[in-house]
Amino acid sequence: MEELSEDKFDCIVVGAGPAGSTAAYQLAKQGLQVLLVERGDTPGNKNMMGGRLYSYALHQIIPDFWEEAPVERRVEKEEISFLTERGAMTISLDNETLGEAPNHSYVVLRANFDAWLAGKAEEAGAMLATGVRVDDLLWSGDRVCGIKAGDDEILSEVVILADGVNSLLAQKAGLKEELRPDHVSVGAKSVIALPRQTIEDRFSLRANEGAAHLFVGAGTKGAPGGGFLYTNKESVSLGLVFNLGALMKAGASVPEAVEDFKFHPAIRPLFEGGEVVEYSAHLVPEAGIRMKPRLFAGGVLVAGDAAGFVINTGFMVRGMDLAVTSGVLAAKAVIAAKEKGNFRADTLKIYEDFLRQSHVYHDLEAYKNVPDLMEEPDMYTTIPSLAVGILTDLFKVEGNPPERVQKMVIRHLRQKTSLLKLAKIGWKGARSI
Amino acid sequence: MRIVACYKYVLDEQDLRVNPETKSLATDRAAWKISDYDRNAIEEAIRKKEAHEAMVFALTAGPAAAKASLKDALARGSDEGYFIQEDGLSGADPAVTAQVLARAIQKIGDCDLVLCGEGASDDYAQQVGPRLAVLLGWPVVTYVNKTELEGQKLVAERKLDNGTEIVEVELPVVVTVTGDINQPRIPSLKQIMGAGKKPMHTLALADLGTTLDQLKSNLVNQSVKGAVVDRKRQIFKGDPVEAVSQVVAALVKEGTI
Amino acid sequence: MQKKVWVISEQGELLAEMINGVKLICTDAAITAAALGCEHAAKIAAGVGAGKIYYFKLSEGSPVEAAYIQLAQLIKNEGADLVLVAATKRGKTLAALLAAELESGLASEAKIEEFTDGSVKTSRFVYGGLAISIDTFASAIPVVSVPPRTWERPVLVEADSPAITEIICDPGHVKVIGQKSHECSTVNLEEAEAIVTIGRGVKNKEDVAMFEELAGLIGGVTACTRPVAEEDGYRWFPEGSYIGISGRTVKPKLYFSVGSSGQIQHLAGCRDAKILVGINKNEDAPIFESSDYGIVGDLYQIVPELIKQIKAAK
Repeated sequence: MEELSEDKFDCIVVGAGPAGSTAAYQLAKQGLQVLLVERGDTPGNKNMMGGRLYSYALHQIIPDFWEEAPVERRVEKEEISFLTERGAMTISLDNETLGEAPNHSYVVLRANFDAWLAGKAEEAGAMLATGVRVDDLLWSGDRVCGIKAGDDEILSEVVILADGVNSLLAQKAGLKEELRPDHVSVGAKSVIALPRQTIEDRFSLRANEGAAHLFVGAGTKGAPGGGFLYTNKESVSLGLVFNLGALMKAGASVPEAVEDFKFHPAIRPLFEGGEVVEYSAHLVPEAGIRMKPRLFAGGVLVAGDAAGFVINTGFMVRGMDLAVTSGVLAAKAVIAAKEKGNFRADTLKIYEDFLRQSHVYHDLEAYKNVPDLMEEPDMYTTIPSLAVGILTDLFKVEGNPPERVQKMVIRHLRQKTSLLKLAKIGWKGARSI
Repeated sequence: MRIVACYKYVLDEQDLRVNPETKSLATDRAAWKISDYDRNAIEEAIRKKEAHEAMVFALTAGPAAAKASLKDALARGSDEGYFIQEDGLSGADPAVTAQVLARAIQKIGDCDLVLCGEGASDDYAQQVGPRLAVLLGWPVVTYVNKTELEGQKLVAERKLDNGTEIVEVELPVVVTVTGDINQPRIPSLKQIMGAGKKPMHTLALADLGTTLDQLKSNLVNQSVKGAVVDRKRQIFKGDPVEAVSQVVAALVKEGTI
Repeated sequence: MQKKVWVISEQGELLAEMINGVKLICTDAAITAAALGCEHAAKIAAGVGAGKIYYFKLSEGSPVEAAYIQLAQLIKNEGADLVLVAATKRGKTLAALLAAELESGLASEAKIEEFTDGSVKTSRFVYGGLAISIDTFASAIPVVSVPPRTWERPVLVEADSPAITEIICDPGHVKVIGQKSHECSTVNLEEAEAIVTIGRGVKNKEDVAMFEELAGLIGGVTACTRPVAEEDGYRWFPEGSYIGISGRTVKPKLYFSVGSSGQIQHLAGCRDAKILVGINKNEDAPIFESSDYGIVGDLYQIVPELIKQIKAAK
């Protein structure tokens, strides 16, 4: 065993995103010596999402965190639109109960939120080093015993890898394979500044109330994925997510698709008069439990997006809450291992046990078939076309003898698909969600 | 030897946006940084420390947000950090900044060399260095891109408009440095970790025996508005031959060709 | 009431510009010129219309800035409504030393917007050229450093009257022990009618010839951005000859920016160009926001095509 030196930590956490900062926070609060290393100059400036944070997970460790954290609007309006070339059929739910603590959700901007959360870890006693890229892990036999950044080698009993969807360190540790294009999506987003009042008027929101809007169909030109719009306090986050594999096959360009999406007649008025203040893009894990790597080995654990802990069902997108929970459980595992006196793989296995008993695995398991549904091309073409087509004919009045609704619906079904195909999709959908 | 490296914590001008209609400046998305040439000043101080055995004090004065910069200054190799906290110093007249820094330097005491950037990347008034010298009663050498210490003597090269002037002066002296004097180092993880353990002193103006009202400012800012130049912004993409012909036609029409 | 204005510089041409400028901004001014270290400059000040002239004679090895203490004393004794210092690097240093000694405010590299009874208003660029700051003065003696060519340079004439008062300048503590000259740019960028500016996007020094051809066709000269003059891997132009906020400011009728992304600091040097044409391979480059005409693409395809088509158009 190495001599205990001044620079040997109990735990080094790589990545000060929600998983990493939560783990560091929990460990520091228990009095452990934690080093939290972040590649970006400030935590969060390399992170991006749509997007929203479901509060329940972080509330358990920082109760009522929304009162001090830099959150944007609290979501009380949920919308889903099916888009055709020029049409949109939208389902809209407006319910105050969606905003009732603690099971509500907040739109967040990661540069602000992640910086705050890392600050909490620092306050709790974690040492935060930013602007540092960890190049490699240090090994003692078959156990990870530290990290290497540039010429510096820092030792620790255990390393938690919370370094994001494309964790090269998890690959180097032999826990994860190279990222497969069909396992990830590319998300591209614009943050568009709009006055507070305009946002509230345009989206029919009360003060501090927010909307989350997902778009399926024309925006992604038939490829799996979708559009999104989230209302921040004084801006909207508007963007598209594309499955990377499908995107590569289609030879499509993300910037072109984003522009076309923005100019869709249903989307354009939403950000009218706004000023684009930020463009960003990021990879998003899409395959859920199917892309789960090995989560532990001697001296190392994997948490957050690095473990693929994201669920996208089309009407619900969750990543941060799963990241937070995995950070909590990784910390719990480290503390248990420290009590036991070793960080061998068979001891750290307890991390996976904790995950299995938690909602993280329950939810990932429950939604494990969603990727199949998401890959159905009909989801992005036929379904929106039917939705818009049927309702358009329902609402249109042409002065002709009326068509019976039932007949009209069947006409659409026959034109665009078949009852059998629809049933198949329905079946897939029912099984997966 | 005791060296003070003065620096200013500024908004990154690359992040600023101008509203084309109102011409107001939006600073809300701007990140903070140690002003570019001040990074060179800190680096020069550290190099002197490494060559001659000296203590380097990093010194800055500004609003509360500037406290975050101390770790960066210390990670670059400074021994101690001094932060004079006063919100009223935001956007201050360089005469005021110089008065605060001079008092702080006197409080740090027994200093031989003060280094600053030639000008701050936000205001670029290029005044603090010379003003500091007058307040401290020291000589000043500006626009320096090379320094050599020979005992109590400094030999410096000044990069001026049409040539380089080589000067020599006895310590103590104030020196302002250019961006090409050196390449500031990127702190390593160990240096960043070490920064947190170094002494960081936060002082108020009262600790320097003064108040904001007492500090004389004779330059009064009336406004800061975006400088927007109206341009036609006719941009051509695609086939180069086609794009060029459009532009040439337009220039011919303008009578410029 | 007659205003007392001081103009101070180590260069005669700049004294001439400032004297000319004072006459433009103030109908009734008594102008006192201080020529530092150069008797010839003092004679030009006399010839161009200063009412009173001081010539600060510097001792051997004394830098120009050493004059500040005696200058301050003179100004305090004689009074001033406005003190102008030509903003060369030495001038800027001197201006700050002078302002500190006078306990005055100083507007650096500024333009005089208003000069009326009891008030001086200046404007100057801040944030790398992105914004303009308007300032006024609360002190009795406003000091302003003025960039060269803010005002037009009149014809330079030397004269022996009014009589020049010589002042022996105390040496101060800084000793000049040597000089090195830069490889000077002989090109007068400030007077050029057309300029082709080369940015980092240009790969090889040999390519500069192509831009010189383009410049020749439009009746202009070539120039560069700061990295191309000062950074490793480039340095294809004399130091200090780049266009930008800390370099040269130009106002040609036609300005081509080739292979430069259009950082604020570069744009600040060419904002007065009448027509600006930007060429860059990245359509999001900021140069296009500041261009009248822009071409997105590979400059190695576009510039030869430009040369071809301009030749044809002539």
